[in-house]
Amino acid sequence: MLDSQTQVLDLDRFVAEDYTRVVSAVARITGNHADAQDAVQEALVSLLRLDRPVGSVAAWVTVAASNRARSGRRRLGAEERAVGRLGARLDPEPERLPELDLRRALAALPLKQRQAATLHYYLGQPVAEVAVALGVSEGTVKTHLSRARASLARALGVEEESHE
Amino acid sequence: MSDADDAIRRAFEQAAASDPPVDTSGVADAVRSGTPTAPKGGSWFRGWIGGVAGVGAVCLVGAAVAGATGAFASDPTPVTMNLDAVTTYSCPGSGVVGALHRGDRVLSVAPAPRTASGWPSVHPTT
Repeated sequence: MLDSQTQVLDLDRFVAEDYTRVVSAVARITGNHADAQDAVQEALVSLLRLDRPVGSVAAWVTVAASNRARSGRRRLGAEERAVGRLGARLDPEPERLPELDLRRALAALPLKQRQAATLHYYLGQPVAEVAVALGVSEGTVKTHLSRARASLARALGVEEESHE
Repeated sequence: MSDADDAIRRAFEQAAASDPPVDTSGVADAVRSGTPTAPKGGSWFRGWIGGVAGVGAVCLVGAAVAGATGAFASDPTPVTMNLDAVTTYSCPGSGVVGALHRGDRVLSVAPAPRTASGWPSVHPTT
């Protein structure tokens, strides 16, 4: 799990240790890696201007950056259609790759579910930290995660077990 | 932890492993100064044109990439281009002038280096 902010953001440490992973997290949510880098840096600028602690810096930045990034759903949709066309030309029976299944499944989820799943499964944030970052209750986070888990597991071809 | 949780975590890690490399040099200073320096260019990605459409747009994107890199960009490997030094792009012939949008991707264009006479010609090869 990534580090939490105390009172003052240790920016150098965050960039050295967490920046790349947070950019990847935002890229999963928005569907575009270049946009993610822009958005993460802009979120960090905003964070430096805050006069209050935000809990997990990684979670806060991920949510702030993904909220400000351009519409991931629209871009993802266009990209998936284009990738699908290319794949159809190059390989009539393309190999099934988990990252592509994940990408398609994430693109189909509502933003809050995408954010919750990415924070929890990729950044290792506990439900309580996800709730703080999203500004919702822990119960709401559990609902988001449950629905996201069902969709993602189905997309990945994994049988979902009952999970609390 | 369930099999589904494990599979989802692995899929996230595999997806992240295919991300382009991130250059963190200068990020902290840029953030402190309030002037983020993330690449403004898109990823070179053989396969499609996103965010823009049409021959003029293809030319525009190709010229922007070539102008920024000063090189012949034909590598289909996803590469993030740094376009900080270039803000306006034009395509001889079509007269298109404009800005490349962040994250735009290009397909099958063959940009040439910028020349003394102006911005390079680019040749959509689709």
